[in-house]
Amino acid sequence: MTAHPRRSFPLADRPLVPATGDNRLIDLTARPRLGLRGPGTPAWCAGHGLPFPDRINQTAEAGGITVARLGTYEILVLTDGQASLPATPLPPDAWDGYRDETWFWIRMTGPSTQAALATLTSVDLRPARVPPGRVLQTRAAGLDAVLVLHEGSVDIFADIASAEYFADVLADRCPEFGWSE
Amino acid sequence: MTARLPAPWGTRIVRDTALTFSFDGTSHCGLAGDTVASALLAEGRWVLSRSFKYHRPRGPQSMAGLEANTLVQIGSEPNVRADRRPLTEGMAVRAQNTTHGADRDLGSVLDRFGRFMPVGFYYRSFFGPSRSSWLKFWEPLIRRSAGLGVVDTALGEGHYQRRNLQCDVLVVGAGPAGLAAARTAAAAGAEVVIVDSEPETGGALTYARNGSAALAQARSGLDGVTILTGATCNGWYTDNFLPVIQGDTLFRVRAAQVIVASGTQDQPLVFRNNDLPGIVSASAVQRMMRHYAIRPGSAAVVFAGTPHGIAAALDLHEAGVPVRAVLVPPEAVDLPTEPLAEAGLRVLKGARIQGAHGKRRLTALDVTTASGRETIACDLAVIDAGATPGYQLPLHAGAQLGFDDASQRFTLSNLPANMHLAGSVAGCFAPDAVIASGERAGAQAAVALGLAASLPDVPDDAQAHFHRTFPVSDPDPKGRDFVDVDEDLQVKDIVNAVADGYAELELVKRYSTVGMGPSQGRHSALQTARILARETGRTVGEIGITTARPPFGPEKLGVLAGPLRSQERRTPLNARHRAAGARMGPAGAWWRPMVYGDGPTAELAAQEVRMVREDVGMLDVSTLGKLAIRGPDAGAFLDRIYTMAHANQPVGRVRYCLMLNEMGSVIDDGVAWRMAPDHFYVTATTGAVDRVFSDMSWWNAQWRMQVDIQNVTAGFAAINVTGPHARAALEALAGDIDLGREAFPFLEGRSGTLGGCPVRIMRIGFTGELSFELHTPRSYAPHLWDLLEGAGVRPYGLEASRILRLEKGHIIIGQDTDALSTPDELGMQWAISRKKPFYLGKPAVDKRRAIGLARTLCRFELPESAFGEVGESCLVMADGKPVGHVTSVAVSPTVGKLIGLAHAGAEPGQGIAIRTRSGVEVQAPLVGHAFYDPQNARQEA
Repeated sequence: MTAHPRRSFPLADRPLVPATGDNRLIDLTARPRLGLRGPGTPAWCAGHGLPFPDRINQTAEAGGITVARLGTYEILVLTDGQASLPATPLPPDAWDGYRDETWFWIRMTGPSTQAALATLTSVDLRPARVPPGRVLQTRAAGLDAVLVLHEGSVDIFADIASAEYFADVLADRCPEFGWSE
Repeated sequence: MTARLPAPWGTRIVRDTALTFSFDGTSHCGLAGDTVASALLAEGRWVLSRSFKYHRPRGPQSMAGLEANTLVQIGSEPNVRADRRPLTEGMAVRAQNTTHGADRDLGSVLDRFGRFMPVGFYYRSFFGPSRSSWLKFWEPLIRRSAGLGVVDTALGEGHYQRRNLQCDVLVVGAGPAGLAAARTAAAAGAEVVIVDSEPETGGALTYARNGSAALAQARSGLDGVTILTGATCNGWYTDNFLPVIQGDTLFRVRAAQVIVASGTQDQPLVFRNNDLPGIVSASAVQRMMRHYAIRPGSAAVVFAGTPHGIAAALDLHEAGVPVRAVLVPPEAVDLPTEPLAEAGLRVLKGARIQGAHGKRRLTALDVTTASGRETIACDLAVIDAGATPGYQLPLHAGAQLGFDDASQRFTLSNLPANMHLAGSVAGCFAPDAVIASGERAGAQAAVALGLAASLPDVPDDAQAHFHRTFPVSDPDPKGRDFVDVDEDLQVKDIVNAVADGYAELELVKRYSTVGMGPSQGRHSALQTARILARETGRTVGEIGITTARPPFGPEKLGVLAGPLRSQERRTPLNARHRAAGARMGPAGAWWRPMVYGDGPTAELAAQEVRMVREDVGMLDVSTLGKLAIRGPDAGAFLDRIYTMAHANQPVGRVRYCLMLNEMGSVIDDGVAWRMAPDHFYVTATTGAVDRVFSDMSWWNAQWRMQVDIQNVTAGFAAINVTGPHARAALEALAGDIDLGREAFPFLEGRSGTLGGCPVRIMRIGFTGELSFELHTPRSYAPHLWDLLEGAGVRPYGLEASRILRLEKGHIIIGQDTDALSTPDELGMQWAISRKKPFYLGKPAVDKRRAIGLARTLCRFELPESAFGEVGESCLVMADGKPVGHVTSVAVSPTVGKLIGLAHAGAEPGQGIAIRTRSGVEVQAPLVGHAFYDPQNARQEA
């Protein structure tokens, strides 16, 4: 994880807890990401060689970057931790969505992920209904949340001011999950 | 103690694992696998509770949790169904609704005064002798004598869970029909969940005579099916949403198709003293023996109205319980009784039960036949009087319940398209018909899902006509012929309700409370309908039953509430506040520092006020709502949303915002900083930002303007640095923003860096002092806060902030306003653009202005000594009538007076009369300007 001398993030001090089996929670809140919105978003993606998913609530990947399309002109750009995000200034018709500051980012991974999510959200998460690569914009633990589904894991984005609350909810409802780096 | 039956009786118990527990303080011993009731029955204890009204001794009747008889208190938990709750080591069980215990209850004297408690007596009595008799005497007396357990209000939080579960097919009931349905649907490719309230699958096969082979067959082929046992489906709601409760977990099930295989519910027979312990249903006695190896009695009489009764009699005989007689009622004389004769049992055809004898347990039955009356000594009466279908879920879903006079059974029709019935609830009773109906229901569900499945035919059920119900006799002259054991209602009570003029079932229910007990009419609905039909000359079908609504069974409020954790939002400075000794208080979902340090709140707040007035302080205002309004139409959009002009607002300028609703009432305020021609950074109040964002989004969807609206509240922290030394403090931090008065005047905004942190700074203030409101990306806030502390800026809390703003005369939306407050009432005409053709609420503002003011918000002052006597919500009086109220009040450390805001009449003049908390009126002079620095010299410095 990148060190930020002047920045701090809400779950950084949460103690790590051993998982039961392979079930893990990973706090990625400090990892760089980019939210972009506005009509210039597709062109921005094209200009940076990034895919723009064909449909809303789908993801597309290229070179360690995942682009999750949240709306007609809104995307969330994620990195696998190795790839760098584009750093050029935004065009006038595309605006920063401040997603590195407004949302926490927790990755839930392991065999119990789907069962654990069933305690958090009422959305139908059966793999046949929502395969990897889908994005769900829903409610989780009473928060507006964005779930980005991967093979065997899910990235959860929600109100960063509620990060501690959400972590407490996870501890209550999904005790089989441990916090790990 | 009654010895247990030998194996293979007792399929659920572990004979070599003893468990000790207590009942009413007496030690008992049960076995692992027992329920509380089965363990007590095995020790010969039949009286588990006292009845609701007459305090009569009661024991298990159904062994299926269908009646209130088995409700006990276990530790702090009241109303536990003893016949459902697994026994655990050390359990402390107590009888409920009794003065001393199940065996000794002084309240049983009420049984002798039943004639003074006729149906509906509580609607006509207890109004005297004095006006307060009900509250002071009768109500406490009745509450003490008619209760169902004791709630422990000191109990800590429970641990309740909630899980969402989606499936293609939900099967309710894991008996042979339900299992067949699940197997068929799963084989066709459906995702199937099957739930059953019993601890194991198999339904009646687990206790039925000769059911073991069929049980093994029924449980096979269920790979891939999710099975939830000990789980009750407690209702059906729109779109096939079905709550399923398993222990302290609530499963919120959504199913595309629902198959109801809920079976039937045994019906009691109505005769005198039919509530005595020892009188049980046929399935109950089979459960006692097959599940728990209980020897249920030393001498039994069986009332066999259907083939189930005959099977139960043969089971008893096989278990070695002497069966004194098998009574076959006149309506069922064609039942195949040959097996009884072959077993050497005495069969009395055309027999009826007239009454029962016993005190705490059955001792004998009075029986009549064509040959006369006979009293048969027995301590066990097994009643098989037919059953009603488990119709609750279908009725929740809108199905219709009918009554077939020929078969004397309820029937279900008009099911919704995505619900199917299987097994005895569908009127199938023979084993092959039951399984075929399950397979057909499973196939129907699969086909409805678009899966391939063939629909098997259901064979004719040759036994169906044997499965009927039985009439209710006229009221016994001596009474105690109970229709509803939960509510202690007798036949005469229903008859008298009709005589009192309540001829409709829903009215009878409300007048008599029949069906309103824990069993919700499962054992009383049919009997009540029969009596009502007889008394009003109608058929049972015409009477029907009362509306069936969820929940099907009891559910704890904790289960409904779910996990107890409310959303908490924290600013990025939360840890800093706590480390600095702040007293935190809730502000909506947020936690905010109220004051810092130890000591009386008022003194600490006053110190913080003086710090701001004389030096500099900082307040965490990160909870302020923040909105990014971007796009070519941003200015025009805000022109429509807010009352002031924004389209022509210069870049860099900060302008006050006032938001009205369509009634012209003030709903929020804030500021809008034009950061670029197409970019406004807008603040809203902490509590209203979500509503403002929602309203803005809604209006933008209507107006279709080129504007993007984003709620960035959590993404930016905000720190208000305020006080005469604020500029100097900030200048001590390295930055690239010129903070000088000329370069950065009041009501302007600047972007740049401060102490290495990206910041947006607005020259605005709530305190009346020189103020800089620093907004920084959330992750930088702790670092910036530390730098400010290093520069000598100390924090202050919300208490001081409220005083500072009041000294300056600023209002707080929601505290100093209400749903009717207009800008004119608040003296905020200055915030209304007179040139704009439209803004939200403008038509209403114009019309309300034409009507004239009904009240105004005034500033008043009083001597400091009035503190405590004059507080928020104290009435403002005029000519002895209330004309308003105090909205804000505080002792001002700066002014040295009690100052406040109050709604008063339209023209209050020089002063207002405030009614103090002691009830006297004090005259408070009004102040026409801000209490502090009315010339605004300090904040614009």
